[in-house]
Formats: sequence, C-alpha cells, structure tokens
Amino acid sequence: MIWVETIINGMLLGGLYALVGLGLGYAFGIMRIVNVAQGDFIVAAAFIGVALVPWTPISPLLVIVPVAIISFIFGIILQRLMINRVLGQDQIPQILLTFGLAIVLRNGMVELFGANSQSIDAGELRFMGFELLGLRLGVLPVLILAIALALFTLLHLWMRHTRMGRIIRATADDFEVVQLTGVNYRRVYGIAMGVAMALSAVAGVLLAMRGSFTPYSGADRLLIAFEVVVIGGLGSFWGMFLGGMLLGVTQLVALKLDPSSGLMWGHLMFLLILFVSPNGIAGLMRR
Amino acid sequence: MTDTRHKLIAASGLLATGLLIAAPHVVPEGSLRLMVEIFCVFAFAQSWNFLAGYVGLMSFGQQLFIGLGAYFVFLVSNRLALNPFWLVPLAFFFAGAFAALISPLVFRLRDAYFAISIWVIAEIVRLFIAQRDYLGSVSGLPLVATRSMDRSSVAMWTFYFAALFALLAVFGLYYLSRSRLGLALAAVRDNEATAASIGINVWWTRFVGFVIGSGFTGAAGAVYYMSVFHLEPGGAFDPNWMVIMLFIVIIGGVGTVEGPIIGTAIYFLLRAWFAGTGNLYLMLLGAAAIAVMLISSKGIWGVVRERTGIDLLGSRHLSGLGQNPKG
Repeated sequence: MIWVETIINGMLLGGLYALVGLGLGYAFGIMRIVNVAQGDFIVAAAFIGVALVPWTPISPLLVIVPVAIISFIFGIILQRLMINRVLGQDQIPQILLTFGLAIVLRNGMVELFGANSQSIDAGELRFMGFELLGLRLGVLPVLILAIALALFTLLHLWMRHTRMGRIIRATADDFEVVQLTGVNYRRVYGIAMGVAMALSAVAGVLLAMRGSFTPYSGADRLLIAFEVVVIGGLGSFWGMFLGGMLLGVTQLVALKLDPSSGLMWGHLMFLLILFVSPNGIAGLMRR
Repeated sequence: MTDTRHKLIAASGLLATGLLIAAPHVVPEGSLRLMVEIFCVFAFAQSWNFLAGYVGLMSFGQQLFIGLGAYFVFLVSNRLALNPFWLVPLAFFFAGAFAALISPLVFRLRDAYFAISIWVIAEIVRLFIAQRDYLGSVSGLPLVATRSMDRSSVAMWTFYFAALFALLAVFGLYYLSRSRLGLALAAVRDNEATAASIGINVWWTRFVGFVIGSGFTGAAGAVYYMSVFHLEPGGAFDPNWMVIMLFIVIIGGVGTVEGPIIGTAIYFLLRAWFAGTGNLYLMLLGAAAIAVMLISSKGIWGVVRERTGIDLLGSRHLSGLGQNPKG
C-alpha cells in the first residue's frame, strides 16, 4: 500500500513538473528559443509570490493570478527588448543572452533576499488531507495537479480554437510567410513568451508552496523543465505531461529506496529515455 | 598568411615558453599560485571556446570534465601512491574516454538540448560521488602524495603543467585550427550538408573534436585541483565553472584564439576589483554577457578584428562566425 501511495504522490508531483516544463517547451515549440533563464524566472516568480501572499484574499492559492499577470507582462518586455534583437538562424546568441540573464537574476536574488531557504505559506491548505480508498492524500498536491491539468487543457484549447492561437501556430510554422498576411511576428513572439513566462510563474509559485526554494534552486528547476520537454518529445504537449509524471514518480520512488540521492534517479531516467527513444514519449507512440 | 607571420608566431611561442620555464625561479610563490589559477581557468575557457567556436558544439556541462579529470588524478594517486604529475596526461585520456562514452547519447540532441544534457550528466556524477564514501563523499578528498614531496618542487611542477596547458591553449589551438582536422571541424560547424558532400564524416569529426576538447578540460581540471590539494564534488562539478568559461569566451570573442586571452584578463581584473562585494562581480559578468550579445555576438576580439583587419592567430582561410568575406 505504501508503494501505491508513493506512486500516486509521484503523479501528483509529476503534474507540477509537467507544468514546470510547459513554459520551456511552449517557447521552444513556437519560437525555437530555449530560454536558459527559465529556472531562475521560476524562482523569481516564487519570490513575488512570497511578497504577494499576505495581500491575497480568499485563498493563498489565488496568488498565482497576480504573479502570472506580472510574469506575462515581463515576458513580453523581455522578448521585445532583448530576445527579438538576437533572433536569427544561429541559436547561440539567444541561448547565451538568456544564460547571462540567468546569472544576473540568480545573483541579484541572492543579494536581495539572502541565500536562505524559504517557502510560500499556503496556510491551512498545507496540512489538510483526505482519505481515498484507504490512501491518505494531501489536499494541496491534488489541487496543484488539478491546476496543472486545467492549464494544459486551457492552453491546448486556446491554441486550437482562438484567432490568436491560430496566429501563433501559423507563426511557429513559418514566421516569414505569416508576414504576408499582415502579422507582425515579433509581436506574436512577445505574446508567446509572455504566455510561457506566465505558465512558468504559476509552476514556480506552486513548487514554492509544496516545498521550499532558495535563489539557487533555479538550476534544478531548469534541469527538470528541460528533462520534461525532452522526455515528452520536444514540443508535444501531452508527451510533456506524461514526461512530468514519469519524472515525479521516478523521483519519489527513488527517494524511498535511496533517500540521499536527490534528483539523481530522475536524471538517470532522462538518460534512459533518451537512450531508448531519442524523440521521447511522443516518438515512442508514433512508432 | 605569409611565411613571416608563421615564423613570428613560432618565435613568439618559443619566447613565451622560455619565459614560462624561467618564471618559477624568479617569481615569488604567491604570484606563481595566482598564475597557475589564471592559466587553468584560461585553459578551461579555451577548451570551451574550441568546442563552441571551432567544433560547433555548445555545452553547459564542461564542469563535468573538470571534476572527472581531478577525481581521476586524486583517486588513482591516493590509492596507488603514485606521483600525481605522471597522471595528468592520463587525465586527458580518462576525461576524453568519458566524453567518447556519452557522445552517442548526447549527440542525439541539438543546440541547447545538447548543452543541457551534459549538465544533467555532470549532476548525476556529482550526486553519485557525493553519496559514496570510498570516493570521499560530500566532504571530498585530499591529495596525499604531494605531502611527502618537496613543497617548492611541487609548486614548480604544478606551474609547469599549468603553463603547458596555457601554451597549448594558444599555440596548440592555432595549429590545430589550421590542420586538416581543424578545417574539417570548421566545415562541419559551418554547414553539415556541404561538409558531408565533400567527403567529411560529420559525426566522426564532431566526435573527435568533442573528445579532444573535453579531455583537455579534464587534464587542466586535474592540474587546477592539484594546486589547491583538496577536491570536493560541490566545487569540482560546480556549474559556476561554466559561468566563468562562458563569460570569458563570450566577452572576448567566441571562435577566436585571441578572444579568451582578453576575456581571461577582464575576468581576473573584475574579480580583483570587486573582491569582497559578494555576488556583485558575478552579476556584472552576466550583464556584460548580455550586453555583448545585444551589441555584437562576436565579442571584443571579433569586433576588433572586423574593424581593424588585424588577425594575429586566426586561420584566415576559415570563415569565423559571420566573418567579413573580403578578409
């Protein structure tokens, strides 16, 4: 029974991991941009969450709304002021630019907030639990999985059925041709980066509610995001969701068997998937 | 591109070698230690520059090879009571062999995904070592063999190895970039399809470049940690190594021999000026990298070369990143 509980908890955590990867995968799928600063943005969002939680009415969970809005605006500014300037065939300038941004952000957060471990106070939610078929589960992890699932679904629907979603998909296919129809692809990229940032910010806040974080957590967050995207198969939404689940379950099962291993087994799972199927889970299914 | 330039470069190489051989007998020990650090960091940066600018492989996990080279020398020397200096060349082969082993896996990924996958492997190795008592676990390993050796000769030989790597990082890279292999690497970096069409084995060429670059990082990493006598997984596999290498190469100019020399000088000056201000200098490094990317991704030397036409150690018949075709 303890194993069933571990696996279910792993899936609850995995949904959140999937959300961590979604922002990175979305930006890559649309713009072919790999934002290496993603992990540190996730941590920055958590710090904003810490600051805003005392002013959030009704439930501390709702703090994700203002943090997402702030991050959306920030993403647009980032894309339009910086990343749009280094777009081109060569991906190296974009990657190095965001790498520089990550260093500035991380060390700036250390200066501002110190290197201590913190977490976002979720109030009573943190301790609430319920029984289901003899399993004891926390309310907060279940709510977090529900939020992750809802965001995946919403993003899927938005991309599929709205005008903006269609424009973004067309831009992703060929940013040169869409200009013939009057689309300013740079503006579209700005919106896409805003969405990617907002998604990451929600993930960052939720991670900080479930566990703790320091200004240095960005590196681990980035690696998780990256593994989710690669395991999922570069750009496949639902592949990413399964990838997150796989990582979450692997991590919790491994921590039960080998308590001091940290993220090592998750990383090894990533290598295993890469070995078995270079195109991730989506690649396996297509076969 | 004339014979005189060749002769000048060879002469300056010999001159530098002579000066470096004399240095330990003239320079006080404290400055010698700083020079060892500068040379090692320069060698790290230059091997990353080789991978990113000459082979076309950008990795965010080169700290993996620093740690592997250092652990190899420390472990083997401590276990078998061997003189660690004999093991430095083997560290090249050890780190290179590890690179060869992982390349079938990581070569499946491109660009940023390739870059980060090596970082993931570095994390795996770090976590693995940190949990194993026979590898020194979290607290790390001392270097036992040098304790019984004469202190000044240890300092001298450490310096000679570091100086050798610094020289190789300048002149070795220069000659390599002009060799048959160097030309093949440039062709693969610039256009895979064209390279393949003129009979270059793309995968194999890239593989050889990756193994050489990573092996070099490993050997230099071993020397760096031999100069501090103590090794721990958190330091040896620290991603901040990557930050330093990237900064030096980006600011100086990726894909040039001269750029990282300038970058290394700027890095050590900044570090000295902002000593005691905590993280401020790291923030400045990041900001400088952003500025370079926004202004010109070629870095300082890239811009100088373009504006003035001065090309000291370039391989002019190769195209650098977006180099002027007239050049």
